[in-house]
This record gives sequence, C-alpha cells and structure tokens, in this order.
Amino acid sequence: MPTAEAAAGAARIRRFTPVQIAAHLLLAVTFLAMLWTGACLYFPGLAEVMGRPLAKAVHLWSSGALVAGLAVLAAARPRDLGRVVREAESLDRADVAWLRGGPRRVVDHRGAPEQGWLNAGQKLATAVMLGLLVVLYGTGLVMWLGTGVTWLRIGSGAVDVHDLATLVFVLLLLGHLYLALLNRATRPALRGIVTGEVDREWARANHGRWVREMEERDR
Amino acid sequence: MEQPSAPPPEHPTPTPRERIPIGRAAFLGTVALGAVGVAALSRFGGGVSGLLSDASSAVGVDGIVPTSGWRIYNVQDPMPTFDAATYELVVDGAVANPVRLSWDQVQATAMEEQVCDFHCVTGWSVYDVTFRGIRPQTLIDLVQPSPTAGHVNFQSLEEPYFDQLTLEQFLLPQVMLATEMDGRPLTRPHGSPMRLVIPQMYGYKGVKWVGRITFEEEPTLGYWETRGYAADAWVGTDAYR
Repeated sequence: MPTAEAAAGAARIRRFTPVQIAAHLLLAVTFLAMLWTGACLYFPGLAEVMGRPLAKAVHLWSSGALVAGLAVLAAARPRDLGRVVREAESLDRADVAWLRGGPRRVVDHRGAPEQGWLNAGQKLATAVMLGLLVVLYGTGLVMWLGTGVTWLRIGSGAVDVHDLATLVFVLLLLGHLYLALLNRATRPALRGIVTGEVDREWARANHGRWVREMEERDR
Repeated sequence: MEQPSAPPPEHPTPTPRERIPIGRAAFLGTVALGAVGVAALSRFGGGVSGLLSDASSAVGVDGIVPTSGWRIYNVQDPMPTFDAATYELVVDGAVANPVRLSWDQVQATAMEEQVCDFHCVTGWSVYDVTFRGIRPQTLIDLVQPSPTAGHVNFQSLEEPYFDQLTLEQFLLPQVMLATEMDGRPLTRPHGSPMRLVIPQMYGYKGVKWVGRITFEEEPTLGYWETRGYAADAWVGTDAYR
C-alpha cells in the first residue's frame, strides 16, 4: 500500500531514523568533548583552562557515555545501527565505479554511478572512523590502566598512536564538516541528520538507487 | 485462503548485488594499523619519532612529535640557553654554607651514574635511561642545611617554573641532579645543564634547567601543583591534588 508520503509525491524523503540521528548526535557531542579535554591534557598551553582533574574526568566519562549510549540505542533498535554497519561493510560494483572517479566525486556527484543509501565515500569514511574509534579506545585504555601499572604503557607507543589516530579522525571530521556545511553539492544532506528527512530530488540525484528502491517498495 | 501478507520491511531489501567487503577491510586495516603502530612505536619509536621530530623541527613545530620516545614540554619559549661561562648554580636558603658554583665547580663535584625509568603524568614512559649527576647527600654535605629546613625548592631558569620536594623525598634512592643523559651532556630540550631526576615521581617534579636550589622551612606549591596537580606525584597514582 502506498504511503501517504509517496502518494503525495512528498518533496522530502526520510533518510535517517531517530535512533540513527541520536547516535550521530551522541558521537558528535562526546567526540568534541573528548577532543577538547584531550587537547587540555595534551598541550601545556591549555593545561590551565579547565585543570587536569576536570579535563581527565570529562575525557573518561565522555568515552564511557559514548559506549553506554550506543549500547542503549543498539539494544533499543538493533536494525537501525545495524544498517549503518551493514552498509559500510561492503561496496558493490557501482561503489567501486564511484571511487574510480577520484577525489572529485566527494565534492561533486554529477555524472557519478547511481549510489545507494550511503555512497562509497561515506561507506569508507564510516568504516575508517569506526576503526579509528576502536584504536582510540584500545590505546586510551592502555593509557588509563597504565596510570597504575606503568609497564602497560609500552613506552610511548600507546600515546603516539592515540595522538595519530586523533589527528586522522580530526582530518576526516574537517572534511565531513566541509561537506555538510559548506560544499554546495552535498550540504543538503545536513537536513537529513538533523530532521531525518532530505530533499527527494537531491536524494534522487545523489543516492538514486536508494530512492528508487524506496519508491518501488512504497508502490 | 490467503495468508496474511508480511508487513513491508522497514528498509527496502537491496537488489541483489555483488558485495565486496572493502569497508570491512578498511575497518580491520585501521585497527590492525593501530595495533602494529603501538608495537612499532614502542619498540622502534626512537628511530621513527626521531625522523618525524627532525621533520617537525624543520617546519617550526617543535615538541609536537616525540624524540626518542620523549616528548618535550616547556612553559616558556624559548627554552633557556646554557652558557658555561656565565652559568651559576646557587644553593642557599636555610643553610649554614650557601654557595654559588660555577659550571667548572659543578663538574668537579663528585658524581654517580644510574639507570632508571622516566614516567610522564600524561601517559608515556621511557625505560632504562642512564643519568649521571650529583647525589643530594653530596650537596647537603656541602651547604649544611639547618635542622628546621624540611623542604627543597628547585628554581628553573625557565621562569616561572619551579617545584619542591620534602627533604625526605630529596634523599630517596636514585634522586640526583643530573648533568648527563645516556652518556652525553644534557641537551637543551632535556634541561641543560642540570635537571632534577626523581624516578619515583612523575616527570613534572623533575625540574629542568635548574639554576637555584633553596632549602626552606615551609612547604610551597610548585608550578603544576598550583594548577591542580599533586605535590606528591608518586608514579602509579592519578597525581591530582
């Protein structure tokens, strides 16, 4: 049975569920909190801004809040977060063809092979960011436990990799923010992660296969 | 009789397509790279980070990249510059025999060598560092602190950095005023010509570029202690005040 939205040819189409939006917001808030407090712990020039005890407490509690929050969201709606993982896990021929277009594709999708719910760039960025989060948690755990058990510190390896992983994550984040806020071709996507809905015609142009599948489902 | 139709899936079933697990490979590759990086930088960090450090110095961002496992922190730029002709180590306060030692006199003082670990409060460590320097007892014998002098201040040439130990802490085994590290005179980033070494505590207690040592009767909070750090920065604790 056609949905009212499709029947009316609604101008917008739902891209993200409330749980996906909440997970993104949770990641954004806790990551920025960890980035800021991490900087306060890392750069002597920022050491006095909030003080070491508060900076370390916020850093650790934010990391815990992210894990706990994601666990709650995943338990509440396993399919919503599972879909992100499934999508990011693998690429198909259209994705590979999209990637062959080179870095230009990231900022301009015109002429690109038809993409699904996430395009190939988004899939890879998601996969790498999830990998970096695992690295950050692993090395962070070593640093945290290494306070009491100094041999666990493994010299400076954990700190070095924690810093490098943060640097790579921040570079990806800056690209993400550029595409979401500034780049004309991609910034209509921002509405999706805020309200859940994106402009249908924009989605058709940028995520054509997903829109087609949605419309076929609703027909 | 018709079976009731299944409710439509929440998300459309994707058209069958060839799936290539590139995303999974990117995820696992990132994690593996992180694990290998921890092992490699721990084992060979000196060589790798030395090269990176040279590169970062060349573009003017000193101190961001570790050198031989060390990270260099200072509170004022530029770091103090050691001049053997003008350097003086002042040792005074509640003592019977205050002294001003020239660099030649410092070098003529009895020294010992030791190997110890260095732990930073920010989470990194350098193991098996060889230091050579003056033992606290040698200095105490020289200046004769009064019986009421229970604290020792270490003033850095990097103003306003200073820190304090109790006399008891100053006399712990392996505490020394080091002038050499790993067989060479201390370099400028490591606090030339003299730094305090106290392996039992985090590195911020080990004042670099020591210019004055003052025996005191009263406790005073050091540079980082007025900024939330513990005065007793025992390794293995959070070092919060």
